[in-house]
Parts: sequence; structure tokens; C-alpha cells
Amino acid sequence: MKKECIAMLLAGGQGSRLYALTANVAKPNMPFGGKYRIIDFPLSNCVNSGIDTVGVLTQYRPMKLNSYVGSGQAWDLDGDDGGVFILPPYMSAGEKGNWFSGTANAIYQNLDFIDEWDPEYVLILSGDHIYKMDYAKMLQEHKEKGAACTIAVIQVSLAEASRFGMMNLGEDGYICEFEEKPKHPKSDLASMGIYIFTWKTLRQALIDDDADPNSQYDFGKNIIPRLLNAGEKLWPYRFEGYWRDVGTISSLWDANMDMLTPELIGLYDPAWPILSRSPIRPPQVIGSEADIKHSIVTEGCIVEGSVFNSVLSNQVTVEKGATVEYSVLMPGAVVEEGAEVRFAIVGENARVCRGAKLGTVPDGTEEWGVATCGPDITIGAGAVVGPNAMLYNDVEGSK
Amino acid sequence: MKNDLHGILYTLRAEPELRDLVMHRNSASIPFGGRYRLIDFALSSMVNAGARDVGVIMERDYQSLLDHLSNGKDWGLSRRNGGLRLLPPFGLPEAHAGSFSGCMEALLSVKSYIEEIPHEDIVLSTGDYVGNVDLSAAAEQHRSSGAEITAVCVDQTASVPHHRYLPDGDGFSTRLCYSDGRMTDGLGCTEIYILKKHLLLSLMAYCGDGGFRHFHRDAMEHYLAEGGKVGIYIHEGYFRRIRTSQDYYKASMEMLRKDVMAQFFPEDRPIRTKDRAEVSTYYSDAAKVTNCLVADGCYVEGELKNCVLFRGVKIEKGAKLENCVILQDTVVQAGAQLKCVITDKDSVITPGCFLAGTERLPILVPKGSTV
Repeated sequence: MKKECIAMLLAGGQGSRLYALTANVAKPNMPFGGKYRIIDFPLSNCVNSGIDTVGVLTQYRPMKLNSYVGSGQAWDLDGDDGGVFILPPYMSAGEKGNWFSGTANAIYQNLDFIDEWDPEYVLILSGDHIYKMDYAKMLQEHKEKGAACTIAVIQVSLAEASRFGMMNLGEDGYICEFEEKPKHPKSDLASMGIYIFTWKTLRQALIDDDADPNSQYDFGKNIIPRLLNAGEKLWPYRFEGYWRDVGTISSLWDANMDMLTPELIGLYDPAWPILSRSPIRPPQVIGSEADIKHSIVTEGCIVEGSVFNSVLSNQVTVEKGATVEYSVLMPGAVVEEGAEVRFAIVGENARVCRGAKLGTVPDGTEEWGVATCGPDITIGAGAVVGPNAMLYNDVEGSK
Repeated sequence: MKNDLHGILYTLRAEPELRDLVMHRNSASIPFGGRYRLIDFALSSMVNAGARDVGVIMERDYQSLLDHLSNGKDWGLSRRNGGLRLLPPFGLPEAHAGSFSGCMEALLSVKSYIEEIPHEDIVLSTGDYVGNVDLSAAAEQHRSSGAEITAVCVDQTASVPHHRYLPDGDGFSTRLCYSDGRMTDGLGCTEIYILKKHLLLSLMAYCGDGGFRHFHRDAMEHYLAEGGKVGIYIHEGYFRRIRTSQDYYKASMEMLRKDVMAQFFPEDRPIRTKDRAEVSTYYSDAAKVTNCLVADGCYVEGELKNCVLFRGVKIEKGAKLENCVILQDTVVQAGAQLKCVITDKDSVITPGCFLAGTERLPILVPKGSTV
């Protein structure tokens, strides 16, 4: 079936800078903002933009991500002519199968899938950004500018620029140079890792790139420079609005805290809903001694303690006398009686036992950081876990 | 795992004592408990007992019910073979206005549907109760006792105003009596039955021939008079029929009790409902919330005590609510004060409003109204 534009969502990365949180799950499956998982954002953006065919490229620990995406029904991506397709690496006849060796290689290995839909354009997305974007507008601009590739860019401060891939523009407004994490940035336009390619051009570039043994098979490092060298037109699509990369503990924590100001991303805006797959749980129970301020709380939660400036995913329990401050509690986390959780991320189904302490308020030192407790970890009764911790294993109680 | 159970739910005309709650809907689709509709409890019980096919007989004002049930996917009943089957009230050959005067008449209107049921046992249930009935255990008892028909009963008086079975001591009953709500003899019948398909068809044939329309008064009386006996399964947990707005209010407030919540939501028997894509609920710095049941998608900046909030409710700064049931998408604006009030869907309570009902007689704000 012919499609004008299909999306390919790169969801295979480990997210190694999230350490214990992604030790067993792929980053796009990471719970976020109470109700969501990171992948809900690009998938919802696709549906809201009118893109009904999405290939999800998986590689690292895909089981939970696969079952979360399922038939795509939660995003209305279970149609007859299109829908969501999980695309793992695979074997071909007569040769050994290969892992995806880079972002471009992942797409290269799925040329056949894309050709099936015979699209004019292909949208490349990644699974680690929190934002709302109308890809239809970006596609419109791509067509108007006659570009081979359009890259979504966002203005950043020059101080931040050395963390991103930066786009330098020529006088005609097209992209003339791409610099990965420059020490001395020449522009303030950062790539958001969202690309629209004219499929014919991308297809050839992928084939050429694959033949280059020195390539790292990466969009930013190889494909974009290759197109620039070939004299193709690359257009920057300027995005204004909320956009965050959540690839590190501190950026994941920051972005969660941003959700406490719901206007920032417009979570309550019915015109652009972020859809998610919710478990079947009763409404949240707020106990008679509960104190909740400036926080978001989700179905299935039981709150009997104090919760300030925090994000609670579904089925989180905060028992009587417990305090949770400036923290992110992922689904099923339990904070027992009298326990204190401050400036921390608590992974799925982790348990902070009676009287234990996790994290501290910032003390102004260089060493301070958000404390992180991996999924399914138990912090024993009375144990004290300081700031900047990264727990992969249970912590024994003190009494 | 194959399960030989087929569900039939009747969602008949609502009792007038439900007042404005049933102005635009029948009682099975009254919102309850923050995110549910009454029918979710009966439907989930059937699904949790392994029923993979459920027919829903509808009568009058069923538009909101259709919207809620859709194709049954949220209950796992959207299936190629069987699944949810919606049965509108126009199946009788003779012209009638789409309403029934009794359950038996409703069953007779879907006779051909019942005849084609491939299962041996049928669960018959009303769609206007709240609670979490373990129909799996009831079916188990039904089969092992060898009963042709088993009634699910409760040992409570208040919640079951009508029919009561006087037990014979052997797990069966041969006597049915009618209570006026004060009577405490015997066991209250929930109007949930598990019975053999052939028995249902023969009772229907008897009633159809005689022009009888009522399940208890006609069919069950006849069955008992002919020497039949009814197996009694006792449901120990919470159970309330919702037949008046007082019933509704009282049961809503009871949901705020920990012990009641535990009976509603055991881990292995979830109550399923229509999924509405919502965000998490936001509580602002000014929020003060104690002893409440709150659905997702709410925005709370005011003070709440002993309240049930449905999805998408907005409570503005300075608003104070106590002992209230606030249905979907209601907005309570700044400084309004409500006590013992039920607001139906899409209501707006304007700033400075002061409404106070009593526990016995809560104020009911009809759907879509601005106060």
C-alpha cells in the first residue's frame, strides 16, 4: 500500500546513562510524567500528525517494550492499512544476522519494510525525547523548501550547544554544516534528532553508507555529512516549544519536575493528547492523613503520607508518616511508614522500607546529585542512602 | 481455558427514585466510584469468572450505555467469535415501544439469541449493582452441588429490598418471599443467577405461553411450585443495589472506607471500564485533600474532604468540598462551597456558590447545568 509518509522510531538504544533504570528495559519503555512511558510521546505525535504507519526498531531488552506497544491499539495504531510494527534485527537466508550497528544501519536493515509502503518521505524519530510536535507542519515545510532532508532544530544557549549536534546555516537559510558537540559552537540551533527525508534520496545514501567500511552508520555522523557533501538541500525546521532529551538521570528528573507545571508542555490540552496504555486500576485513594502539594498522582496510587513536588506513576503507595519530596516514583513503587524520599528517582516496584532514607536536599556541593533506586530494589528498614546514589542491588536494613 | 459460562445482563428501565441521575441514561450507565459505570461491576464479574460471551439486553435511554460499552474491547469482549453482543429492545415480533414490564419479558424478546447459546450454564444478572461478586466460586458451587439453578444471595437486608430466599439447611431453598425492605428473614437475592440453559428455555416457554412477564413472581414461583429447588450461593462481600439517589450517595461515600475498597478491588478480580486517555491528576500548592477517591485527569487547587472525584474534574482555588460526589468534567470554580452534593457530568458551579444538602438528602445538580 502506498503511503505518503511513514515514521521509523529508533527504540533500540540501551540508554546506558540511565544506569540501573535501564539495566533490564529499553529506554523508550521508561515510565515518565506519571501516566506515560517515553515512547508515548513520539507515538502520540505521529497519530496526532496523521501518520498511521510506524516502524519501531528495537534491539536492547525489547520484551517489555514489545508488550507495551502491543497491537498499537492504545494509540489507534491498529488499523488495517498501516499501524505499528515492531522491527527487531533479523536473519536473512545464507548470511549471519547482524545487530543494528548504528542508527542509519538500523534503517538500512529495514529497507524492505519501508519499500513495502512505497513512501515519498520517511520520518526518523528517536525514543528518548519529551515533546509535542506536529510532524505534518514539518513535512509541509520539507516539501515547500524542496529539501532532501529536513532536520528539526531548536534554539539553545551557546553554553548548552556543546552537548548537541549543531546546525550551521548558509545565507540562503539552508544547512551548510553539521557539527557534533562542538567546543566552539558557531550557531545556536541544535538538532532534535528528528528528520524527514525524501525516501529516494535517503535510500541511496543508506546503500552508499553501508558500503563504506569506515562509517559508523549513524545519521548525525555519517548520513547528514554525506548528503551535505553531495550538495543536497538540507532545511532546518525551527521548533518552538517544550522539548527535552531525557537521556541522563538529571535530565530525566528535571523533565519529570517540568510536568508539575503542566502548561509547559500542555499536558491538559485536549487538542493534542498524549495517549498511553493504562493498566486496569481503581482511582487513587487519598487517605485521611495525606498531604499532597504541587504533585501529580496517577490511578491505583494509595497516598497516606506527605507528597510534595513529586511525580507518582500508577500504583505507587506512600504509607502513613512517609515523606516524598522532589522525587519521581515509578509504577508500583512503595514508600513505607516513616520512610523519607528526597530528590530521588525510585524505579518500578522498588520498595523503601520503614524509616529508610533515600536522597537528600541539595547541599551545594559538587558531589550532590539525584539519588536513584533501580527497579525491584528493596532499601531495608532504617537504611540511609545518600545523594547521587545509584542502586543496582538491595540495601540491607539497619535494624 | 475453555469455560462453559455465558453471561446475560439486563439493563432495564431505571427506577424513578434515581431522579436526575437517570435523566439521560438508564441505571446501568450511571457513573460510579470515580471512573466506573454501574454495569462495569456486573460485566467485570462475568469476565473475571471466565465468561467470554455476554449479551446485554437494553431498554430505553441506552445511548450512553452504547457509548460506554462500544465493542467491548475494554472488557476483553471484542472478539471474532462471540464476545459482547448488544441486544436492543425491539426483538419481539409484536410491536411494542421498546420497553419491558418485567425481566422475563426482556428475556423473551431475545429468545432466538438465547436458543443459540452454545454453553450449558448461563449467568443472569442485573446491571445496577455495585460490588465485586466472585462468580467463578458461584459457578463452581453451582456445578458441584448439581443444582439446576443457583441464586447469588447476601446476608444483608438494607441492600436488597425485594426478594428473599428462606434456606432449607442443605444449601438449597424451596421458598421465596417478598420483603418490604424491613424484613430480615432468609437471605436477600441479588437477582444474579446461574442456571442451566435448558431450564431457562423451559421457564421462558412457560411464561411465553401464559403471557407472564416477571422472573420471580412468575417463573421462579412456578419452578418452586413444581418441586424445583434453588441452590444458594452466599456472597460475603460488599453489595448494594443502586435504586434511589440515596442508595447512590450512600454507596459512593462507603467507597471511601478502606475495608470497602478492599472488597471492591481484590488483586485477582479487577473491575474493568472504558479507558479514557487521561493525564495524571495534578494537585497544586493550595490543594488540601483528605480521605478522597480521585480519578485521573483532575486538576485540584481547592480543599476536599471525603469526596469522590471522577475523571477530568477541575476544583479551583478556594473551593471547599465536603462529602461530595463530583462526576466527570465538572468545574467547581473559585470559592464555591459544597457539602453533601452530587454534581452530574459537565456541571459548572460558579464562584461563591454555596450548596449544602444532608447525608439523608444530598443535593443533586443535573448533568450539564450551571449553578
